[in-house]
Amino acid sequence: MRVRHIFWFMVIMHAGCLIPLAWLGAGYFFGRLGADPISALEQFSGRIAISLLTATLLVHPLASLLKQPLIMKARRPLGLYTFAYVLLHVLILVGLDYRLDIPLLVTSYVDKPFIWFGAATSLILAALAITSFAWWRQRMGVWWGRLHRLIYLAALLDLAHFFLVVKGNLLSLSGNLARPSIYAALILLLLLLRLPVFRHHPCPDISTHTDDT
Amino acid sequence: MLNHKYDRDIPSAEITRESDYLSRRRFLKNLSIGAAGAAFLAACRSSGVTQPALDATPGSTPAAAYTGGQRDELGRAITSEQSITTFNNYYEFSTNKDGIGELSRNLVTSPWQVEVGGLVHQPRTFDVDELIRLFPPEERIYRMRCVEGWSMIIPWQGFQLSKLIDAVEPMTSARYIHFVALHDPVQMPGQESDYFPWPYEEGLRLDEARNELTLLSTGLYGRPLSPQNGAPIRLVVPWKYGYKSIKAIVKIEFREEQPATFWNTIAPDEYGFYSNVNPAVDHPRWSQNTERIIGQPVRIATLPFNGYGDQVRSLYEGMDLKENH
Ligand code: HEM
Repeated sequence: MRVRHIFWFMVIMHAGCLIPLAWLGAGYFFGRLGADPISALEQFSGRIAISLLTATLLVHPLASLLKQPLIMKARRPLGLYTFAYVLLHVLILVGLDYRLDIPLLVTSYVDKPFIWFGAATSLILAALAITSFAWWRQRMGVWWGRLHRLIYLAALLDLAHFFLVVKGNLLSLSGNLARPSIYAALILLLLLLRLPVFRHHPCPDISTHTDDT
Repeated sequence: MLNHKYDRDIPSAEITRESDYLSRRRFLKNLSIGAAGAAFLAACRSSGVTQPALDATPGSTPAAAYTGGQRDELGRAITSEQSITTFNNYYEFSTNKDGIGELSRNLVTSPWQVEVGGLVHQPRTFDVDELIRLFPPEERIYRMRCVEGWSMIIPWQGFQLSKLIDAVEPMTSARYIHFVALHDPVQMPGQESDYFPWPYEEGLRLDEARNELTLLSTGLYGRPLSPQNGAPIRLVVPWKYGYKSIKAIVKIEFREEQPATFWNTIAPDEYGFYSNVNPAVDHPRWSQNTERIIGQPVRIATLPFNGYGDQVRSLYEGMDLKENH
């Protein structure tokens, strides 16, 4: 892959991340999101967030597999887009759905476990987004890598959020489990690929010399 | 389709204020809700009950004409027909609310038979057209509260389930009614999913089924039900969460024991047998203290029994409604 190719790769990546936003915005303002546009926004933004989180996890294995270190350039923007959609997801709930009625929001959700999984995911993603700048990276040394491995924890917590938010029952394998199951399969696979046993040819640090560019 | 933009402009004054609501409740309480009370309520459309429509034409037009009621007895404006007919849950077709219309359009709803049996003296299989002839549709404007936290106000046409119950003469041993919906994976692709205990089934206690609010509906907005809304015949129990109101009914069975119900089978601690609308009992995911009426942007307080407490509270006297949620 040449630099020219990676340019177009990045263009497609950015477009892929921004088109859903444009589509949601247009859908909302032109009344094309069905009878309950607020719920539609809440759900779509959540689904886009978990999709982008999965895509972020996919970058490293893909770069190793294709032996294309330049692909790593997509990782930071994908992570930041994930966080942006999470912010949107939360803002829609707080601003549009609950109209900033924070006391009502709190009494409605404090005792709902799925919210805490979502909140924990959001906190991790916020920490990763803030420390994603080169300035932090240099300052943090080895700790940067350790901190950013939390993305896997974030993915798992977010899966819990998703499984708990859909109707059904995981224990009896009944209900609306198809969608979260697909994400679970993908994320667990990507997690397995990170285990040392599966890394016979660890791509020697493609990240360090490409990420900071 | 600009309807939601339009809906967003509905002034919030259209939503009944708590004080109005309370005074109206007091007004209702002062009436004796006997036969005379009911007739009076029907006349002033205060309980959502209107007189039977005059043109109960059998056969091709199974719904009485929509008489133009615009509000329920709490003063809440009815939801647009567009929203009612395009937005609901119907897992037999899709778990995606927007996908149901397309997938359900070709459901064959005529001829359609409903088998009524079990502990009754006169078991019978009825054709839906025959039911409509026997029990002319009347209009009822009811609130419909979904457990997911949204609600609608729907002008139904249908007949009181109690009329059918009387017609088949339940035995004294009958204490519950079990409803079963169509099971036909060819027509209902959602039923191919093994994650759900098909067919959809529901149940009511006999006294709940006999309550004057409990309706078998065959139409809404003056038109026969569309497949998406449960054609050709469905249950409507307005003081319970929406999933109790089973659609596309093929079987009604009188029993001594409490029947299994679809969502209760899937997640017993989340969906109780009674499933009365109750802001004091939360679902593990959704707080039940507020709701958003479809088409209106603000959350409003959810009312116990969905606002039908005066008509149904006595059914549950002495019961712990947290325990029996
Ligand atoms: C404080 C943080 C969060 C809060 C308060 C929150 C809140 C919610 C709520 C209320 C819903 C239910 C929407 C509905 O069914 O109408 C939901 C669904 C969802 N959320 Fe979150 N969330 C948070 C963080 C996250 C994060 C970090 C992600 C992913 C990276 C995420 C992904 C999802 C997904 C995939 C759904 C399911 C959408 C569907 O029904 O298909 N959420 N969230």
